[in-house]
Amino acid sequence: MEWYYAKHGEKQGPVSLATLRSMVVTGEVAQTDLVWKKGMADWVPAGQVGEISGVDSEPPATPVASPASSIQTPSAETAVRSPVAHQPIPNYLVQSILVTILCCWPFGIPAIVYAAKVDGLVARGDIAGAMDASRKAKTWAWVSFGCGMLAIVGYVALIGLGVISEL
Amino acid sequence: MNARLILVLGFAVVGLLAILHLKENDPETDRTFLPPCSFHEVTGLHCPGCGGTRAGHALANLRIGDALKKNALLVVLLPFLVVGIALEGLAWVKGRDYRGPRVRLPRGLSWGLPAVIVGFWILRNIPMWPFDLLAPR
Repeated sequence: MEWYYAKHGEKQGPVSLATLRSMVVTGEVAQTDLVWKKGMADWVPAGQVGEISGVDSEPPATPVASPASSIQTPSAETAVRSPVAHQPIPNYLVQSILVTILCCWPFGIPAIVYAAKVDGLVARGDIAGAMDASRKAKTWAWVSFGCGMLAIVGYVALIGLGVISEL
Repeated sequence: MNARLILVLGFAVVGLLAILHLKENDPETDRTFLPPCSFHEVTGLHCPGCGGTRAGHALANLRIGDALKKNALLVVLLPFLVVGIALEGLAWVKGRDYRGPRVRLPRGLSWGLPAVIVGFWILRNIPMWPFDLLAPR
């Protein structure tokens, strides 16, 4: 199904559903930006269309009877169901590079590898994979950061011992 | 003012003070508050960040050539890192309302960047020309 979206008052597209979903995930298309596809009566905000904004919504298994039935009206249920899906997925790339260079331990490398994968996975529409890579990048970055901090604390402690022994 | 904004502003102030301290003190002669690389202390090898403090000292005094000799990778990445830190800080303060730009990796680089950093790590530890040009000197 070909979707159109409005950006800065201009019609953009057509794009596939997968592309549009990934654009919402990256924040390129905001929840409040209007989207439209053939068969819809009017443009609606992307956040109100379940198949675009919902990460966990499966494509309809059976052919949709009427175009309108695939569109969810704004409801508390939609908003509550997947609040996380409405945010872009952070890639932690900057943090991963920083801990690798500043903390000096090899644990930063898996962080960079996972961080570098996030955007490619989003572009391919693999949202679950992207979130997984994002989480792993975050975890490894924290491990590396922790090791770097321990090393600095140890270094300061050694200096402290040196000062005390000279007293 | 929320707690995150205060934390980020505090971080920025500490960062600026650290840069000033780094500008005034040469890590070659004065290691006060400028700890050496722990990986290098333990293994004797150079990590991708080794020479970074000295490169920072050279950069803070606008000696780009010297900075490149100490850690070329860091000097190349630094502009992106500075922008990245600012954007990530902003995104963190704004939380889920943040809709601005973030640092995104071009598609072809998803393996390229890790490869460059790991490659830099390995090559700068090979003790012969031309690889030793990458080691801090």
